[in-house]
Amino acid sequence: MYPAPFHYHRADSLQGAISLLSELGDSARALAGGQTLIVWMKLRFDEPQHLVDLGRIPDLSRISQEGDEVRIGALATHAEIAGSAVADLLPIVRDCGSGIADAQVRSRGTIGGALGSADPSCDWPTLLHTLDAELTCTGPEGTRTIPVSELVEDIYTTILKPAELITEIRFRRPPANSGGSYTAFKRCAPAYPTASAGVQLTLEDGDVCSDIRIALGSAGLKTVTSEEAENILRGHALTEASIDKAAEAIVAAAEPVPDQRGSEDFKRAVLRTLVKRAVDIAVRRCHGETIRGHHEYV
Amino acid sequence: MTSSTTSTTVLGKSVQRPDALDKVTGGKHYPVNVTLPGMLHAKLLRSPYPHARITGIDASAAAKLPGVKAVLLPQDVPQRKYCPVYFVPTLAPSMVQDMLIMSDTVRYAGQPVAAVAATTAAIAEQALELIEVDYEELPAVFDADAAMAEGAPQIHEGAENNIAVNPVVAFGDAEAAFEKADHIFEGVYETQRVHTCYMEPRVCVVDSDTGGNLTVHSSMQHLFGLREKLAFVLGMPESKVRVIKPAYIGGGFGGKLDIGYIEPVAALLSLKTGRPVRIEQTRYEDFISTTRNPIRVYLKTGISKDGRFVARYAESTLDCGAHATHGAEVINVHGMFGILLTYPCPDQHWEGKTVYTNNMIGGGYRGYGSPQGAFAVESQIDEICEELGFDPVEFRLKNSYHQGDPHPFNPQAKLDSYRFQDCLTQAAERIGWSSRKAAGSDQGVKKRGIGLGCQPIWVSGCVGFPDIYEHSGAIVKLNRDGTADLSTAAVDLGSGQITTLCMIAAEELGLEADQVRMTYADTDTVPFDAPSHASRVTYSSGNAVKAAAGQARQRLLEVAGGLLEASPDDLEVCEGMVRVKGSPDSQISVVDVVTRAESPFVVMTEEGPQPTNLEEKGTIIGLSSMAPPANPSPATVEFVEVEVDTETGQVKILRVVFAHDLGKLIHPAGAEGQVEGGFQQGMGYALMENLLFDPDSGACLSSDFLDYKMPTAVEMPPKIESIFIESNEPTGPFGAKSLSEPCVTVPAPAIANAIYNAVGVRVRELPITPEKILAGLGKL
Repeated sequence: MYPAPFHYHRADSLQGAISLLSELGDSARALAGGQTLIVWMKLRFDEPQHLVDLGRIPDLSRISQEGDEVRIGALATHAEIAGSAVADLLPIVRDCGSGIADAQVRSRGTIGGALGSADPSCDWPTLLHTLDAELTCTGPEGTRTIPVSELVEDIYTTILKPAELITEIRFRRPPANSGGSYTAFKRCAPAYPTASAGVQLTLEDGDVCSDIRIALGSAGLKTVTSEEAENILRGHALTEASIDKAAEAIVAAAEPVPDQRGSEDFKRAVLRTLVKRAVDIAVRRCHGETIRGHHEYV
Repeated sequence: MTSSTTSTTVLGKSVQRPDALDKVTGGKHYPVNVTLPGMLHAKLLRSPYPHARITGIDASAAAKLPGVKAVLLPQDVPQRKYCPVYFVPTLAPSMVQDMLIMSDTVRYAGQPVAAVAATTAAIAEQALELIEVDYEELPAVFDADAAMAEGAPQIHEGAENNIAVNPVVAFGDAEAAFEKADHIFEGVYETQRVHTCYMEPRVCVVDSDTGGNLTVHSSMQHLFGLREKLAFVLGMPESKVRVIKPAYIGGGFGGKLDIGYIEPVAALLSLKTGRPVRIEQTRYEDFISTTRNPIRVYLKTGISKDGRFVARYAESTLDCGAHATHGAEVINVHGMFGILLTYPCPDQHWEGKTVYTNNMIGGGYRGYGSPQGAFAVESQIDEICEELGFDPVEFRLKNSYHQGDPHPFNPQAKLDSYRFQDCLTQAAERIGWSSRKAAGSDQGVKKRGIGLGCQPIWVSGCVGFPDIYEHSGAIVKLNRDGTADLSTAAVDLGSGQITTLCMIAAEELGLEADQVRMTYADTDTVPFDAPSHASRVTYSSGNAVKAAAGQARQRLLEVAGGLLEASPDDLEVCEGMVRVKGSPDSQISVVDVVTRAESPFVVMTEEGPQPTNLEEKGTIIGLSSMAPPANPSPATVEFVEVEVDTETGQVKILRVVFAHDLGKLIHPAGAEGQVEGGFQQGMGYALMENLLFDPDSGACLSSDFLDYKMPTAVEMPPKIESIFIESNEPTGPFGAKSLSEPCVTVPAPAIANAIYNAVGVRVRELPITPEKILAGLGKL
């Protein structure tokens, strides 16, 4: 279908975008890469009267490392992140960025847009939970920092205030003895994953897991995490049995929605496998193995 | 027929397709790119209800919207019931005439109830929202069994128990034969609704003139079928409808083998406005326009101790949706070529039912009922062999037809060029069948397995089928530059018909492949041709092209004979020269002969005007219009090796070996392309494709390729190995017979059998999704 008619505005600066969005109110939407919004408009799920294009705002797509902090501008595209020095350093970032949709979408879609859409099927939010990322957000009332785990209130709904925008994503670079892996199970390239899992873990004294974060995507109305699952593994040597138990625990916390991609039981089975495979790759990366991550298509 | 020879100079070489560069640079000649001055764009309003009566429509607000030029409602449309299928006469008794362009009764969600033509597609779409339709909802039924049950809603008047057609075919006495069988096997095999996924949508542009004549551009598989159907539904003489042949279309696969709603609606809107009207369907609209009919097969087979078919019984229930369309014929092809004729068995009984439901309508799809049958028959053979300890290759060899046997469908003909045994043994050797392991015996998370599927008997056209058009025609004209123009109504669907037919003409004329050009055609200028369907173009159109080229060649030799003072019988054409056989010095170029034939009778010389030879005058041209001589059967065998991930249920195709006896290999790269494309469609059918519906409203839930998964380059195996066995079919052009459809039919059973060999899980319901495999492994 054709989108309903709308007015297009191009913001030249962050402050300009915020002012314009404040002025236009509820009938306006911020346009980043358009990966989600344009599709919704064409399906008439959303009929905004105004679009405020953020794409030309300078300096919002910088990807950098300062000390042990990694900073990614909200307008960085999936392709830019997957091709960055950060992705060279942290293979989990490349796993995620290079597997999102197809080349066209990766060249347009942005990490900030993926976060702002609050869609539990998006890959970045799941990944950023494993890295305990924080988000810098700026709105009419100033700038604040929001932990990624607090951004989403409910499916498609964030805690962002009117005209407030995510401007930057920050996280601490994991230590050298840490490894991560992100993997998604999807029906085809442009589709959202049927299920996805991210794991970042740190090994000490050989195989003792000193720290771990696990997150599941497309596994409920929000990104799914489980302290219980992490506690099963944290502080212990990893064994097949303990990994199974942890996978079981986080999958028990998941509430996958049955749809055209599969039943709830099937999604749980896939999530269980994805967690185990992600742990396996993360451990091998801790040990210095070079493993190319990929998404599984079925 | 002229005698065939396998010694050829043009055929058998992978020449470049003449349409290749055009297509990779954008394909400007696809019908979707047709635009005409002053063209309007139309959109169809579709019913949200699966079964309803329209009690009122108010389109006044839509008509007033600026840019809207015409509105079409059911009361504006001729109420002539028709069967939309191109390849049969419109009123063919074997088909069912149950459709109307627009009606005040809605029988499936998505049926068009109104249309708007406007200056842009966006305005037309906006106008649809302003049309108010009052529906009186009626009870609906979405399952074939429920539709046949007592008290089910009646979908069409006169169709008892909602059964559209109910063929029964029996040979011998199956009931008595089952008594004598040593073993009896039973199973129910179900297939789903899938779309051909042609890339170019259904699209048309229809123009009209002040005399009420129509000119039609459309992405379709049959010029003359579209002319016939359109003229019928509009109540016009056929000669007032001219259908332009597209240079090529973006895929058909049987999915563009019937008139849609769009052509008659565009025609009526054009007649109303006097302007050309274009309608392009969205992918969602395409999904509900044509599908492969889902069929549930109950199959019972009696086997002797020594592993021979003793008795077979089958019941097939086809859900045709709201209208019979192709379902009236698909059921018969399914019963005959999908089940009864596959392997010889003296005592067989089959009953088919094509059942109306309030689901979307079905359509044609490569294989036409055979894939649904092959999935049942070939899966069950594997089950029989597993249970009784027979080798599946040996079992099939023992139970097959042989070269020289009477043709099981056309017993007056023989299986002259039939090489099923060679296909089976050569492909088995290539895949490494002898080292196949026991089912599920692989260790580890990922397990491998090998399986096979066969299409033992198939067609090269439609000779012998009641009510189905089969003949072809061609015009071949030589140009003064030594090239030839070929024109025929056979549409190139993308599978290389242009290349094949040009090569056949070139071979017959003694020219190079690139010296023959496929040129313009429309229904006013070329002989009737049956559609590009039924694996028929190489054989049937090929014979017609060869005959037309042969006629042109004969005329070329007659004119050259006069100039060389030799008998035409003593002449040959090669390398652009007409030569006296055995005297290479006595020759004249094709260019000179053709030029001479078209030159003025009296030429001016130094001695004044001089007459030449009146008998040599006239364009060198050949024309044919003929029925194909027979309907020879090819044989097809495919082996597949898969790897199954027992933790995710994912199936990866590792290897494919395909073997087929095609008579004569004309264009090797084109033939391989047919096999590869066929495997992709068959693999999608086997593993992933499925049009899903809302169980309450009957609405199609698959609106695009995010919802509807088909195989892409990611899922395809790196290579498909094709073994083409040449067997010289005596009735075929240069010995050729068909290839196309079995390529789609064999993958599903081969993959199902390979999955069983890998993990010991037998899935009898397509598609075999990861979820079904995990369930079979007891992991859900």
